[in-house]
Amino acid sequence: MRAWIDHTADVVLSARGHSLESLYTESLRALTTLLKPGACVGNQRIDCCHDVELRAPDRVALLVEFLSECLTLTYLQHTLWCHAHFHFLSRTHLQARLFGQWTASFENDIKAVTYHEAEVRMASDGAWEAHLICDI
Amino acid sequence: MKPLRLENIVSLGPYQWEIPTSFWAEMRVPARIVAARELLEDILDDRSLRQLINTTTLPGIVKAAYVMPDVHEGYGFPIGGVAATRYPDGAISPGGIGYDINCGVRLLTSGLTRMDVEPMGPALVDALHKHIPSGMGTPGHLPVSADAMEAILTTGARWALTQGYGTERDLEHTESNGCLLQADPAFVSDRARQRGRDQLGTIGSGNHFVEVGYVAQILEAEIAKDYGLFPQQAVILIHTGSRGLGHQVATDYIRQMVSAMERYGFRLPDRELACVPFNSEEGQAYFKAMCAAANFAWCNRQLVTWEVREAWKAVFGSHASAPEVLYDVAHNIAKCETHLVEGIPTKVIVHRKGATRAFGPGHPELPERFRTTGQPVLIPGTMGTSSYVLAGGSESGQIAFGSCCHGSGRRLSRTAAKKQVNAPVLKSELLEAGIHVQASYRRIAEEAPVAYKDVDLVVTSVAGAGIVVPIARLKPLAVLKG
Repeated sequence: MRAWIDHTADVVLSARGHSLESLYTESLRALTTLLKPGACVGNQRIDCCHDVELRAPDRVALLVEFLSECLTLTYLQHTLWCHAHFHFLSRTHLQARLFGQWTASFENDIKAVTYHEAEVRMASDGAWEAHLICDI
Repeated sequence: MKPLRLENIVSLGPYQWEIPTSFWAEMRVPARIVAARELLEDILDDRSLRQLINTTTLPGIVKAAYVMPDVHEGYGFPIGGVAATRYPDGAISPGGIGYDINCGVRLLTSGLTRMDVEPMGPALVDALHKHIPSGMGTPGHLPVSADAMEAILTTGARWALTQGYGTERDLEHTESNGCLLQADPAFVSDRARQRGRDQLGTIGSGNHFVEVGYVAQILEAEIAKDYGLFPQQAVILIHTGSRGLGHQVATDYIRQMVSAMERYGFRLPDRELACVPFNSEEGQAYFKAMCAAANFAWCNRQLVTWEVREAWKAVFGSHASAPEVLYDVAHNIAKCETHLVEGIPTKVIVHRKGATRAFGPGHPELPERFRTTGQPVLIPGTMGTSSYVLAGGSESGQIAFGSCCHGSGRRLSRTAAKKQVNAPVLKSELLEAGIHVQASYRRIAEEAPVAYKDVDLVVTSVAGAGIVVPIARLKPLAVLKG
């Protein structure tokens, strides 16, 4: 589940998942949908995949860096990433394979996923939640 | 930190306010606000002052952290913020510059008048749209080779001259002559270079634009004459930055600094303030990369200038003289400068995020051309409101390290603006007022005048504080938005 919340000059990306892996995937889909609304709806064609491995000081930084990496790969490869399979995901380290479809255009320009007020936490119902601010 | 209230803010004068260090134990210096009282209450509505207070915790920060009257909430540093740290070991923080390194504004003047340009509004907008790539993902006309990229990152706008896209005069009328000499392309990642490769000569999207307007009012005749401005003169404003290359440089180094910070014993209330000592390995790497990205942005604005001149020629013919650069200013940048701190000339690292340098008469860093008058400071409004040409004031160095606002400052989010604004109606109203706009309805709504603060009040504030002298007020005629 994902949502975007108003912020004066930016967008707050909010995501939720029953596990850490699904939180990461939902966050990725939220980011991609910001870039191009409707991109991750329905059956998506898979044109390519890309492996990522990242380390970060903590859980929040790891999610920010994962999404930053995906954003960079989106612009470099003109690819909308809607799926990810995680070989390994801990507080500070991940290995994943991204699956995406090529695109000729984007609707929004996201400059960055920021660390500002970034949160990753477990809710009272056991689901994982994340809130991040994107500079658009 | 306790909630901030109006009663916590001390008046230093009608346009200057201070949150003293007694407000919060973590503050190393006071937080200062340049704003008219009417704007101050608006500023308290978002979290920009809280972010300003967080900025006062930067290691090595001197004198005060400042915000300008166009301030709004950002991430880490507020947008419209200025802070300086002690050279050489004070902190350098990429968040104090922003992701769009050297986003800035350039003003071109022409020999034509409103009467010449106004009837050609639709043709001019079409020509600008044809010549200047705009919008998300639109590539530039000039893909850049690896060798060319190396030269651009090193020499900035001068590269454009070597390719026939500008003149020496253009460089002389650009802040820092369009090049920061401390740049070292070795510190710019391959990814950043790839992202910038097809973006030279493009304005991008969001609030970037090219706008043709005219001098609606001369506010200070002597300096206006020196700047070459006259009533009803047609002028062109360009607003763009370092595009994806700059965004990637900032992303690369913020990531590094988030990890590196702890090694230097730095703890900050907001991770987006991530920083390291300026003279550390990471600090120098970032600074050299930031300078290179700034050079890319100046080259970008030089290429867009050439494109504007081509569009101008297409509409008005070769006999019309090409628009000339009055000045080009950066509003997201860090620079090593000397300022008075406790009465002593002190070298500092000035961070300007959504703030413009505003050096006054006699400043040694200004080109001879502007040594008597002070440098031009360019303040774009919105597509329906005024923009301003200001001059750095003689007292500007006393306030905010010789810095000024950069625009009118957002007050509504894009979503809120889209809810309030009927874009087709606004476009018609602008047309009725003689303003031709080339932009999607979505962009028109997001960038509507109602989404921004009152630019007249913003300029009154910085002028009232003594930072600048208002020289001319401009009004738009034709706008190309990304």
